[in-house]
Amino acid sequence: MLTRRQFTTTLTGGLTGGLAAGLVSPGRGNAQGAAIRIGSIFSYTGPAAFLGDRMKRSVELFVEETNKRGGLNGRRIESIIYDAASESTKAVLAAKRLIEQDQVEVIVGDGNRSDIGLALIPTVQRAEVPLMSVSGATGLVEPVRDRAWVFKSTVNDTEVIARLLDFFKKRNIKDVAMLNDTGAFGVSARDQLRAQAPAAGINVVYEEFGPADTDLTTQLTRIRGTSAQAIICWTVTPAGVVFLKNAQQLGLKQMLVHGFGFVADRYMQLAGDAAEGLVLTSLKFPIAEQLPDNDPIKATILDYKARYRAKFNEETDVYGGQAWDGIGMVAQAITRGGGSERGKIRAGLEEHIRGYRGVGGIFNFSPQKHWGLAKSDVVMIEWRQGKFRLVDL
Amino acid sequence: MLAVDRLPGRVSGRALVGFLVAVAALPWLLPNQYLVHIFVVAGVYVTMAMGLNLLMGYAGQVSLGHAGFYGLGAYVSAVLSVRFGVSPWLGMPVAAAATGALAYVLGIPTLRLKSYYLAMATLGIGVVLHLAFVQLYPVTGGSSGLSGILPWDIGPIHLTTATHHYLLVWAFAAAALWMARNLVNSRVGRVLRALGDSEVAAEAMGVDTAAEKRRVFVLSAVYASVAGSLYAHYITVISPEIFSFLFSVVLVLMVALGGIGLYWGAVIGAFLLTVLPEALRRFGDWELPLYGLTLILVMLFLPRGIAGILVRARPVGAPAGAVSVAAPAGSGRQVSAGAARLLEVRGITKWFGGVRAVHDCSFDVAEGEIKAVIGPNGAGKTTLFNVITGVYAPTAGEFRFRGTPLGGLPAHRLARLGLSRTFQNVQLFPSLTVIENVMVGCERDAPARFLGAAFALPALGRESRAHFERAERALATVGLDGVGLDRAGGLPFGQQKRVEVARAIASEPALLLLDEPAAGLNTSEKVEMMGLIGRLRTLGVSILLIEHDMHLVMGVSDRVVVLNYGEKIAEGTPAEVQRDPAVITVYLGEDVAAVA
Repeated sequence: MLTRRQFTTTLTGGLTGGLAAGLVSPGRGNAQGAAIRIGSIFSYTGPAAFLGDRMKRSVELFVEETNKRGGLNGRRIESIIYDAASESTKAVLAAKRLIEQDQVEVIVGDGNRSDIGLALIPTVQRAEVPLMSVSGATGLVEPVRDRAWVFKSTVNDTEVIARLLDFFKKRNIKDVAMLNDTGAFGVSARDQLRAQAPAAGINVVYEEFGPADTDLTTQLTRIRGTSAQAIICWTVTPAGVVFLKNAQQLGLKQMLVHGFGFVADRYMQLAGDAAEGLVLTSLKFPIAEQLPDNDPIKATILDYKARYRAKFNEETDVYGGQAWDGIGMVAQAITRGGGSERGKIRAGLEEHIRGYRGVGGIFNFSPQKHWGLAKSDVVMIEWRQGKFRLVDL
Repeated sequence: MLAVDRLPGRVSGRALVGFLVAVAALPWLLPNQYLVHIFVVAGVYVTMAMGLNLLMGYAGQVSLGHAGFYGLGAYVSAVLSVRFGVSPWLGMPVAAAATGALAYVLGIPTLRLKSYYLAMATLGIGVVLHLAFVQLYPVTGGSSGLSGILPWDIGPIHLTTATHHYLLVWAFAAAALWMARNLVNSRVGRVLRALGDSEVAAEAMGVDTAAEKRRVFVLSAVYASVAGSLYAHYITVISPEIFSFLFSVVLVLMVALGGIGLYWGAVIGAFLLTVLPEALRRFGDWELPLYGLTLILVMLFLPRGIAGILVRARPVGAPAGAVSVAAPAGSGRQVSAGAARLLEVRGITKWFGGVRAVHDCSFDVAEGEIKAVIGPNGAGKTTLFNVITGVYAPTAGEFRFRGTPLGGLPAHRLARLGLSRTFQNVQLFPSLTVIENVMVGCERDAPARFLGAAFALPALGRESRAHFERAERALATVGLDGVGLDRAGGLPFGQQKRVEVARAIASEPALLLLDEPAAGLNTSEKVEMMGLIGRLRTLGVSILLIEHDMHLVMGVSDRVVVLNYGEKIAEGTPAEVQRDPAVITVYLGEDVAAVA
């Protein structure tokens, strides 16, 4: 039997040794050679987790299937995924670790929030490691000359706002209110609207809220006093549910619109009947089944959904699809571009993603354009009777 | 022979230098820059944990809000750099000054609170600061955080690699550790540990506990602020989550895990909690359970923290030897008995709501006199004592010390005027050694100099040696010269009481107030105590004592005041009082008085 003293000494010794070993032997030395290391940063805990968990699983699914088929150019993919926990600093630390310790060739996933993605840019730019963002803000990939290593697998809010303004014009809506969160996602959309609305002949009143706010009555009361025919809410946080509930409590009759960061069944269910009739800007993903059969990406979406369902026994969503497209395009850049080094992947993305059929749309990258989608990939949908329905293709 | 710089609990300068040399070599031993980066963060955390250790471990003041000060340091210098292009070299001191000022102001009300209440109040400070970071988004960038923070540079040289930052951060950490070591080894460190153990006793020894607590609170906040600025300009991106309540808890955990109140504890705890999550990351999904398990194991088997095993427990409690009747050391002043009035008590009345504890009580204590206050249980002795020692304010009446009115002065001011006391239920500083307990008695001379101590000014070393010698003489006077290095908390009760007396006489008081010196003592210990009080008389110390034990009172007192139901019923020499029928009635009942 150990005495107590021996035990504590052993414990301390074991702890010290274990720590040293755990730190110094990274277990991913270059000697392991053959595998292509792809890093990922998602927030699968914290407020952004409802986006992140399906993204993480989609990457896992893609890596597993690809390796079963023999990998890329005959080399296995080794996937290393870290949790950003919805925090910019955690994400930056994860990126440092991926780049310096794990020595990945590319990072797919930017913590799935615009502000987290923006915080990562200096790190990947300095280290010259390609980053495939999955977040919405235009500032993530523009101006391209300062974002040479950053790409994204979803649409820019520039196009989403343009699409939304088209929709308003079609519906003859002249006055709207914009209620955005003060995070990068909301602020970026507000700036786009400020830039585009005057040319479209649409008047906008602006209000904002904190992403963690639990009451928006003050802002909505002020909006009620205006002539706004529609109220746009722009956020990815649960405050968007509060928006719907407060609007219902105040008896607002205006059209309620959410941005493309809120297209999630779970949010709709949280809002209950307050979400009934809500209009959303979205990619085609949520209403894939309602698309005409000749739609170029309908089959792609249904295929991904089925594979995800088979593997995890649950439904995926448009955000999981963004990660799926992200790693898919990286894989294509590696196979078509013929190299898995950091610089080759970057070049491969710029030159070999042309007409790529993703689940989010048809992607076209170029040295001048690091976001793949266009206005035509954005549709207007609504939430009615427990389902997303296509309103305007 | 003991020496002041051989006291246990002192932090060896050689160990600190050795540690810093090892730290300086570390980046060249690590295989990649990411590992260096981990130890950059460790340097930031070590700085903060050491500040918190001074506050929590030494001064015993819990703070659950330090992440807020860390955040304030980070945000002030980050905002200055992002919005106004201010260099971190200017931003950091501005942030530290702002944080220090805020801590000073917040410390005035909050540090009056104790234990859980203090924890709640500091938690509130942390939460409010965190909310401010989130809500003031035009300035702070809100929940998205702030990016584009200027990185560190030294003149024209930009710090780029993790190793550069490592050297910068650890230069600050080394300065922080060096200052903390000086404080711990100095009189200030002793005072902080003393007030952490017993605020009442520290106050009674002339320590302005409120001021000392505020100073250490401000210092630890400034440490956190500097750490925050270092971090912000290193990572160049900050967001409010890292400064949330959770991180305050992690900081407390660092201190507790390493070993609370142990200098190296903060260092070890900060290293452990920085490195552990990284080392466990290779276990993937098992990371968090293993992290929790490690913490539980450490707390279970190393309750004093990891540094606790480095501190060898000394056997405590010397043989309860008889009081040496050695010639008293010459610290006392010879005062001719029966001289001027030292203490004048005039018409003291104290009400507690509807209860009258003391009523219109008046008496004097002359220079060199030993006066006892006696009375049955509930007679108001302790209340009277607490009024005289400044614990309670009297409802009516006044008292003068050498002609100066004393009403309403806090206990430490009374101590500085020359009133020193012991406590009925011993109030030693259990975590200090015996000699250090007695050295705290010297605090009434002049307040400890906080900054001087942090920079280890030589004058303070001389002062410390003088205190040490005074304490040795006082211990010799009470016959405890052999136990100086034992922990006071481990001594037998009788010896603890004598240590208290030694602590009181080390302050060279004009008037010594003894609160039931014989309470809880066995017969032989009582005899020793009587001998000791007799010896103090020969040294010319004036004494006011409260006591139940008739034998002791009658044996040592010059004059006796008898209280009953809060009123003085008799005063005189022991013989006079013993004959007084009113006194006999009180103690033995009316029938016996009638018979007498």
